[in-house]
Amino acid sequence: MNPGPSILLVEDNPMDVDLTLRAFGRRHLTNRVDVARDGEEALACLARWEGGEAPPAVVLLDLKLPRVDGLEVLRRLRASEAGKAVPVVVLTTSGENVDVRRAYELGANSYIIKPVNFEKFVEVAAQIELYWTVLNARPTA
Amino acid sequence: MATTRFNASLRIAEAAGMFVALAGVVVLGGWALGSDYVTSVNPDWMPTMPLTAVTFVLAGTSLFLLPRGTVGQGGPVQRLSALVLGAAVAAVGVWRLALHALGASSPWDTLGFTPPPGEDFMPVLTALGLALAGAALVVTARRVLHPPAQVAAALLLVLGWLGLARYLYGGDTSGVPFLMSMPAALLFAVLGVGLIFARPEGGFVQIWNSDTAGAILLRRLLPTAFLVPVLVGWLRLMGERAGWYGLETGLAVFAMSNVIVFASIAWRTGARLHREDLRRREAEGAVAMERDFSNALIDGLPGVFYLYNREGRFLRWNRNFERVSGLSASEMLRIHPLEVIAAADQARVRERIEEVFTRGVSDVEAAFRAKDGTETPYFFTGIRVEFRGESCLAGVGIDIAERVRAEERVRELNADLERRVAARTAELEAKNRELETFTYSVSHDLKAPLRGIDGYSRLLEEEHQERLDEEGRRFVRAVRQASQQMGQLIDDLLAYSQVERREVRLAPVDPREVLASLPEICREEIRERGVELVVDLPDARARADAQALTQVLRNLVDNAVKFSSAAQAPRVEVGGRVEDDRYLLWVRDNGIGFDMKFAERIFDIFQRLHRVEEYPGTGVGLAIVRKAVERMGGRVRAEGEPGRGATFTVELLHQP
Repeated sequence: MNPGPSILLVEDNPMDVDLTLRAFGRRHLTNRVDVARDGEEALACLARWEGGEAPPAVVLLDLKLPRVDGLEVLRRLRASEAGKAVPVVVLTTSGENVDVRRAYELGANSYIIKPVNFEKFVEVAAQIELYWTVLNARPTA
Repeated sequence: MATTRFNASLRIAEAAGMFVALAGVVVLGGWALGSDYVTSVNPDWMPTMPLTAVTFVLAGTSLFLLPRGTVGQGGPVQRLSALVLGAAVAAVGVWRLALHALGASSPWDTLGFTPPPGEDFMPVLTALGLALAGAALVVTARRVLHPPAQVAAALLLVLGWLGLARYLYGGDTSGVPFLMSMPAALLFAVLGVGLIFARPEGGFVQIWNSDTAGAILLRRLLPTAFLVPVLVGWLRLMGERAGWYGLETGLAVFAMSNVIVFASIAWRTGARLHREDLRRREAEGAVAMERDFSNALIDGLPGVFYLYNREGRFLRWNRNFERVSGLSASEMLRIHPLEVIAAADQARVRERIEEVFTRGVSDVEAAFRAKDGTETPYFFTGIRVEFRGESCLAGVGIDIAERVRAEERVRELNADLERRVAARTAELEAKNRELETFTYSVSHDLKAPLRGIDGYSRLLEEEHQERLDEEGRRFVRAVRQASQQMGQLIDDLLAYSQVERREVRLAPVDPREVLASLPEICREEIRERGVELVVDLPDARARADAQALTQVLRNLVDNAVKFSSAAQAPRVEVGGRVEDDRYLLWVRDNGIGFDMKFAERIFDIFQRLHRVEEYPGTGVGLAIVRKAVERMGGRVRAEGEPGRGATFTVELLHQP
């Protein structure tokens, strides 16, 4: 089976990383999931895409990150040539209206609030993966 | 009175002129008929020459026309005619005088008639009188009034009088050069009087006509002075000629008679003048009193008083004005009103002064500048008044320094208050930002570990089931339940703080539309629980914030559905009505109700009346309702009875 397009998860909380990976694992899909532990690591990925590496099918971006926060990462992504067309889904705990509006203003493609309930979270993960890696069409390199 | 006398004077002049002219005509008639009685009055006396008679006709006509041509309603025709006729009279007089001086005779004096020899020429005195009369007529006919004309007229009167007196005393025939006929003497006298009265706007008659004491004296004394001595002299002469007494006695009687007559007239006139004087003094006293009163009044004014004319010359002011301005009375007379106004205010004050003269009244606030340069805020008023026949400005200025200082203080206090409010607002805004950061942290940081707890307990339950016994599995379930509940609690708290922080915009809102927009998930729950939802709302709108009202209605309906579901036939009713200026909206259920002693506490946050196992919830829903309603400026109250349901009433403003 060919591995599907990759997913970049930007998330600092190790527990959340673990749970997200498990949630994706539940559906036994084959997409590779890369993890950036903070904003700087996420921007390092951007540098690699600029170097020629294929960008992921979707970036799952938390907002509250150490060093460089999620909204700043989004802004830099959208300002760069390699990152401006990459789908970004904000996946965060905050449902604050300011955050939602700001994220869309900076060019987020979607905004999803992480449910506390694990079953619901698994469901959300499955929908994200299905939608962004299978249903959603991307430009070819 | 004065006008009547004035006009009467003109009539006298006219009458005199007419009399002289007619008399001249009569004398000519006498010549024609050959009647001595007409031409000489007494056949023994000398006759009036025909030329003299003609000249008197001219002079009389001129005098008759004079008043109309000069001061009356006549025009230039009358005036010019009077002038020409007068000139003709003068010419005749001067021509005859010149012939007398040359010792020549005139063939024209008789005009063809034949008077007795020796009496067939115009005497020198008559020629002189005619020249005088002509000159007086010419000068009087001019527009401007000349005193010499009056003097000439008076001389004419004296001349005529002298001639008349002679005839009265018998008409002696000696001293031929001074003779003149009796009619000529009479007509000269009349002409003199007429000329004097012809211009009453000046000269003797102006005084004669006035109301002064001197005029009264003149009017009484003058006629007597002219008539009495002549008459008394005639009586004396008659008595002497009759041989009743000698020369000395006659003179004594003459003198005594004059003394008696003049003394009595002088006494009566003096007494009258005395009374007039007393009256005048009384009037002056009243005027002085009036002046003292107005001085006391304006000096007693609390501010400065001023009265000045259009040119800006001060006519009256009070002592306060001198005190405040530091100007002396003589300086006041020299300055312009704007000189006591601060330079910066002068333009404005000038405008207001102009306004007083054009519109009648105005006022202005301006700084009063004293001589030493000190400036004091004043409030000036001004009204237009008529004073001594001209438009003036009268007004009062009040010192408003105290008021201006008070206003300044109020302004300062306001500015200070504004500063403090601004500082406080900034403080509150900072607090608000802090609170937002806090809630953000709550939503983000508190939920993340909770998700971990739930996620891992779920994984434990699923993936390590075989290693847990029944009790272990029960513990894991309890952990998950607790974390779910905590998640709910955090969400509710966020919603509560959201209501607190969100901006509220009041607008007309129809509660029916709000109710219709409740999420489907709500309706589903209502259906699932078998609750009958009855909506009965009026066709009206409330003043509310749509989003806040949505939250209120949703929470109240949720609440009602939750607590009525245990009833036999659960029923939730949403109703409303307009009462005065209010819109009352209520949600009623037939559920378990509550004890009225909890009616207030029921809205407190985290306040629960039932155990979680019975009715799940966090105790935040009703707190959100109260907070949202209060933020819309409304009120909410709860009524209930245990086992018989509850009613929650929201009171909002009605939007007409």
